Amino acid sequence: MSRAARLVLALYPRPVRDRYGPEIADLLAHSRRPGRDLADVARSALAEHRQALTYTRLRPHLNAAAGLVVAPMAFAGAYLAVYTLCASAFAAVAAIAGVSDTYQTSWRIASAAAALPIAAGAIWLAGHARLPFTSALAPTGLAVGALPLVLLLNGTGSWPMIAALGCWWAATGALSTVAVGLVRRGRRRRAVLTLALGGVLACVLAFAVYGSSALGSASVALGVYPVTALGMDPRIIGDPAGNVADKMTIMPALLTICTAYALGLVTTARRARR
Amino acid sequence: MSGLTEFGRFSEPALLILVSLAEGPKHGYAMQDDIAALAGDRPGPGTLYGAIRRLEEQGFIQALPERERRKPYQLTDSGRAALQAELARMRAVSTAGLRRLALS
Repeated sequence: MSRAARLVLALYPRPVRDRYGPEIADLLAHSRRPGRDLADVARSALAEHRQALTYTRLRPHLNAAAGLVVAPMAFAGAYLAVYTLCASAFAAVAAIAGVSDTYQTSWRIASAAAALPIAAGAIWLAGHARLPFTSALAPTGLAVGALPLVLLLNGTGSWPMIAALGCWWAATGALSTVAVGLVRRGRRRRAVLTLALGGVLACVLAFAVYGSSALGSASVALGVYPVTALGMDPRIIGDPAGNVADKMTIMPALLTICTAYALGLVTTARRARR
Repeated sequence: MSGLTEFGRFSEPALLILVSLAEGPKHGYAMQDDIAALAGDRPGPGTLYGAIRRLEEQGFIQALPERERRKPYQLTDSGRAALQAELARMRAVSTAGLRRLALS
């Protein structure tokens, strides 16, 4: 294909180029009036962009964006429901066993355990989603959806948690961009591994930002996420009151689930055509 | 008319593509040749595939498996019906127009 043909084909929106690009390139290669045909293709490519701005064509994008914004609220609702079930089950078992000093432990384990099925469900759900735009944008929608929850459900001031959410968005957004690039190059396993490990680090980093600004302790800050995500006793990271998990409410679980959802969405990216 | 009026400036290429495919499945290159013979003007690849995309989206035509590295397209039943309706409308307009010209 000539450089000029490649250039005008690059003007098309990606879905149109992926679908019809080779056929248009074939006609350009056999064109009897290459100059006129190149101009025709360039004009049509720009017309496709103009038409892409109509509401009918924007609707799938708007629906997908709205779905991403609503997802954290749905995850929070599902998490609270499963958490209530887990906590009730722990309390019932403790009551039957006649153990009275298990309230805090049950609470911590229930809050950590409840996140796992929702995170698994989020990955499954994301595997069935077909975003009309790149999955690398998913963390932006999820962060926007999580923001009202951050403002509503917060044991301390809003700013530390907003800073944590911003940090999570920047880290997960960068990771998703890298992972989508890997999927497009056919390296799906490496992409999943990058986002899984990087996602955990993004959560650790986000809550370290929260911990250092809200709790004022660097040692507590780094251990905040692992401790709350695994349902461990916060006193082991030097939180004497042991109430760091209370202050963060459902945010560690919510960002874990959102990270899992972003990971699932990345796996739906398509491999680039050669 | 069921659909073609929504094609805006692509309405003529869309109609010519449907007329071309009424004869049987064709790939892009064959359509260009056929339309050039029909209308005296060869549509550019961008114009042709802009119309093909919209016709495919509306379900008036469908792609067939590749043959000799080229993808042929064929009319669907709704495409055939839309073409029939449009040609009937054009015939009515043309008949009325010609009659009036003869009368004037």
